[in-house]
Amino acid sequence: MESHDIEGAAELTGRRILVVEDDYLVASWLTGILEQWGCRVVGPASTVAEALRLVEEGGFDGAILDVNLRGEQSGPVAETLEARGVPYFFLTGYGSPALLPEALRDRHKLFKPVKASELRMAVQRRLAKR
Amino acid sequence: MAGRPEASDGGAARDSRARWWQTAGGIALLYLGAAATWILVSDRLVEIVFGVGHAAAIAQSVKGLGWISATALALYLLIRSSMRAERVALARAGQLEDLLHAMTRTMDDVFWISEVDPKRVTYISPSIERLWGRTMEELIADPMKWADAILEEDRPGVIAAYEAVVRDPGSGIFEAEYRVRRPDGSVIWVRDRGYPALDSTGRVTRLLGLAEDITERRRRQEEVREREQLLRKLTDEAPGVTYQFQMWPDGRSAVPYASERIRTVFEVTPEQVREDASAAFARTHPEDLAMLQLTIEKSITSLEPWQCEYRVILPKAGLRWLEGRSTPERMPDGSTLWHGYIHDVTERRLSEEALRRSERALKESNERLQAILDNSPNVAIQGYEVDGRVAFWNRASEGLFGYSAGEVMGRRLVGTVLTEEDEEEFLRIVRTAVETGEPAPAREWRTTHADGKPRWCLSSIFPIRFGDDRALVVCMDVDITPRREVESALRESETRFRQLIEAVREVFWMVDWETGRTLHLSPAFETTWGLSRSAAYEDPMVWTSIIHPEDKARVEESFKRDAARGKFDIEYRLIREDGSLRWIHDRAFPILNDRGAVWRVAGVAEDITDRKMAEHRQALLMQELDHRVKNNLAAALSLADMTARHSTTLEQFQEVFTGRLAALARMHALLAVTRWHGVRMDELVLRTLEPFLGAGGCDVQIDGPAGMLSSHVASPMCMALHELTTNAAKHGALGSRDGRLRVRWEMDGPLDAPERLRLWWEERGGPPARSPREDGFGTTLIKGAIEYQLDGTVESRYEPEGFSCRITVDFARTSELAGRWGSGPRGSGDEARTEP
Repeated sequence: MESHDIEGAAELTGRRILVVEDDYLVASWLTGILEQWGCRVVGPASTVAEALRLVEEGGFDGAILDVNLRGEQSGPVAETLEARGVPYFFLTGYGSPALLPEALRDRHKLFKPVKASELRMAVQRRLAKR
Repeated sequence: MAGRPEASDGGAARDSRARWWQTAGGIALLYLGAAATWILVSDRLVEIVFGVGHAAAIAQSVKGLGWISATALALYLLIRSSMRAERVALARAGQLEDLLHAMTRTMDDVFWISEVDPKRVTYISPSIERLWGRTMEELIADPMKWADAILEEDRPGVIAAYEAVVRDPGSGIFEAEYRVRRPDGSVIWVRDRGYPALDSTGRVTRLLGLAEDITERRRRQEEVREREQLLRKLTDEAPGVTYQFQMWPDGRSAVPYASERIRTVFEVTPEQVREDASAAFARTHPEDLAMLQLTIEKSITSLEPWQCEYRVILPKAGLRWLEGRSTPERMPDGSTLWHGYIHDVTERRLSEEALRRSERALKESNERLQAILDNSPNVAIQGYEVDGRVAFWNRASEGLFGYSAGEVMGRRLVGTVLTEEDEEEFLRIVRTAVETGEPAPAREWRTTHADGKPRWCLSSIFPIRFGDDRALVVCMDVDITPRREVESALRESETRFRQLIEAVREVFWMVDWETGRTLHLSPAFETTWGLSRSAAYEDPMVWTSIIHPEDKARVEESFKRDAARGKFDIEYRLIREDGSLRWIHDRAFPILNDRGAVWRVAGVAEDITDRKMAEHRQALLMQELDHRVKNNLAAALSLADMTARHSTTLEQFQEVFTGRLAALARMHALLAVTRWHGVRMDELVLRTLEPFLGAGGCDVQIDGPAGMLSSHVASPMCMALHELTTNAAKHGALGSRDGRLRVRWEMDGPLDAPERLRLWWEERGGPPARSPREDGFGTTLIKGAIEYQLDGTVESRYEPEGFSCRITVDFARTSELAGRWGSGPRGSGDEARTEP
């Protein structure tokens, strides 16, 4: 299914993606599917601290962030990414943006549960641009 | 009627007894004697003269004597009956004469008889002396004395009238009224009448007369005339017309008499209508004419008084209203004559409406007054002696106290109507009233009715003095029991209300709207606001002082604008002095005075902090639930995807995935029991191993405390236990008849919030554990769940005796920074396995 990318979509092979997700099953699925598309997964990180450490290390092209990480908001991670100009989007179970820091409410989001095709399109559009 | 000149000797002894020969018996006897003598003597003579045979002569005598006796008897009867009739007639004549005499003697009227030629008085009754003052004899002796007594101015007329009757009897009777001067100088009026008696040639021979004293009647007539004049004057002066109206069956009508006022009331002269009333009728308003005629006709037939109010149109005065009343009488000629009065009522008609209106108002006001009086309670009135004994007791008192006057009269009220204490007070008041002579101030008393129930009355007590030594005290009572009962009910309800508002948590408050003054504030204010009530009474707006700064302006504004309109209904926050935040729901409603203006404002302020918190929790919970459902779905999808990757057949996928999903569902069921608070460790273990317990296969031992796992720990723990169980069933002790499984755990810290978990999973008696197992994904899941998600550790051993595993989770670290999960969830369980 990767053979006919949507117009403007970038090639995913070799893209390095940071995955921040505390649920093992979801993180594991994300990792699996991204690798299937040829991406290299950085992480996954299940806590804010871990995520921040990985952002500090760098070496990735984009990030997928869960909002709630064991009760902590991933806002600081997003802010750091913005400061460094690294593209990212949220993947969240929250229907309401009210739980996001105000500055991040209008950022791009995908809602759980997400379809693989939706996820791929978001990764191509948001994270694979050069 | 004939008189007798010698009647002066009256009815003398006319009834002297008749002699015997004058009687019938006597006459018959004389006849018998004479006839018998004649027969006997004549027979003797015949015998002597002619010498007839002796025997024949005797027979002749006897026959003759018999006949004579019979005729004598008939004669006797005839004479007797005729004499009796005559006697009756004589007796009657005598009585009549006696009556006449008696009358002439006693009556004041004078009878007289005078001969015409020569002129003389032949009879005059004795009453002449009383009337004329002259004796009968005087007048009989000198007939002219009669005319002399008549006043000179009347005399010629009287004589002329007398002469006229005498000369020409056809002119009727002699009749004159004249004055007579009596010897004592007084003058009387006499009415004299004479009826002529004629002889066979038609000449008047005598006059039979009757003279009567009419002085009194004349005087009365004079009075009547004077009165009539006065009446006429009055009727002429009266505002209306006094009139007589006459109507004949043929429709003619006339006004024989009308007072002068007819000139203004009808604008006609009395003369104009004297003979014909049509000029007055012509004034009638055309619309009222038929009605007027109808009322007149009705009065004619019924002879009931005529009464009518109708309009006339007068040449000068224009339209006027008249009212008339008159009384009819039927005249001999068949006409009807009314005597009546008609007057102008235009002014009255004009004011009548106004009058009716005010009368109606008066009537209504009377009725109201009557109603008030009727509905007023009866005033009970009693009189008391100075020592308190009842001297008077009216009916209303009987009603008020239930004792009849007979029962209480002369007794004191103590023990019946009044208690000892009250009676003492009553006596004191009575004495004071008597001493000072002043009424006592009105006072309310609690009395006891004969039925035992209390009656309240309002009493006015005042003294009355009789003479110097006796005084009575009057007491007037009005029953105010219903009012007292209402008051008492009101007090009771007020107390209840006060108790209520002082007991409840809500703050009740009331302010005077005009002054802003706090009138009432319930004790709950102190616990809710944390301020003293006295502070609130001092400063009515103190309640706003601790309102959250974000809410304060909004609340104050709404209070000013809405409280008096009943629209103050607001939620706001308080920050109390101790720093705690309270949510308040405050409502106000206006209380109006009798003029409908806002008088007071009352309100209820309720501490709704708990509700607000609950609402907040609820909102969070809903969001959390949504979050979890979505996360769970995401996890389930991931699980499905990954299970699919590691499944070789669809059947295998279905079995494994269904098992994993069912385990998650069981865990959620347990979570739901505690409202997502957590899951008890022992229940989770038991539930997971349930299908294998007591099934006759592997011996399963479970041992560990009932510590609580929080929701985010429960899910990965459930997943790990499920995978361990599945593996054991497939490859280990659970699938073996002789297998033994021992699950044991320890938990540090309090059971409701444990800090650490250590779990040992030991399989024995089954096939030897081989490392790695064929189905590596299960093992990967265990490690991922425990190590990635919970920051715990999993140590697995694959030994010939069987598989064993030790899991350690530090709950304190699960929400803190956690280490990375090994080489990452790459799908291949083999790489993730920590080898022993």
